[in-house]
Amino acid sequence: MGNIETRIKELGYKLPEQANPGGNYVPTVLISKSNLIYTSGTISKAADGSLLTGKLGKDLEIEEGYSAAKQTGLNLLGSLKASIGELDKIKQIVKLLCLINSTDSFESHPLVANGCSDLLVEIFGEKGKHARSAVGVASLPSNVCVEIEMIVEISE
Amino acid sequence: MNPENRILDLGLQLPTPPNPIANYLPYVKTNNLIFLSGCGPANDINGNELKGKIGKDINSRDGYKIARLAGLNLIARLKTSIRDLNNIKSIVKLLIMINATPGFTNHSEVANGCSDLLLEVFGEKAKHSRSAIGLNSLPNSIPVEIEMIVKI
Repeated sequence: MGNIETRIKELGYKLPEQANPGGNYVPTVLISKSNLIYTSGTISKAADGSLLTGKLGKDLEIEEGYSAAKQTGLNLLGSLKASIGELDKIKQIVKLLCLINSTDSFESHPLVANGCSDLLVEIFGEKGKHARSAVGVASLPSNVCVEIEMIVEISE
Repeated sequence: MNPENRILDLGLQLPTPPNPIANYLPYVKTNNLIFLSGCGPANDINGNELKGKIGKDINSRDGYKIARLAGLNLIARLKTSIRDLNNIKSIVKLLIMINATPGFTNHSEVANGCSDLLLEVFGEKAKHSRSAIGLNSLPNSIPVEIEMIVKI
């Protein structure tokens, strides 16, 4: 087991198995010359397989959104592990796009997105520091509360 | 076209870019690409945050000006990453996210505020791909947030 997976275990987290996409697309794509991996948007599915649904600003508190974003981060890492085998190969988390199912007047998107950002820095340290946008959307598939895309750079 | 000189010629004031307020970075450089975090417009001259929904509180023409301000903020951020803007080979892609009413349809007109600025400053190198979309909310109710990818 590599260092990153040991760290994940020490922190008490569990990486899910990669889910099969529900359509004609793949969970991750590697751009070989640039060593970048683009993940597909990944939804807030709990460890037991149930979906974390609802709208921030109406159905859910910020803390619940934060936890959903954190779980989504683990789901993203599960997809990456399935793609590259060893999370130690990740050189840098490059960018997140955090889409938050929210009301028109919700303003605290960054506090929700922090669930994912904090997790990545906790696990990867300096390599986990990334660029990010955290924004509100009117709807997400199956009414999940959070969906996140990620771009990472891997070593040769 | 020398973007550093263009900024002076156009009389543009680059704002001091804000620091991220959480566990993320204003930009990440990887190989020859720079990914910038989403950026809103800088505060107005009185230091007030620009807020509001386009299509309700703000019309498209003012939305254009706000997107231009967000573009200035992005250029300011870019300058902190590479010092000399002449090092930019090309602007690759913009994602322009507009805090808009459900019935709003003039996203392109608003987005042009940023695209036009980049063309003015960088010339040919600024010809970029772009998506301009409407969202129902943005952090602190800012009207526009823009992400950018550049090649160096």
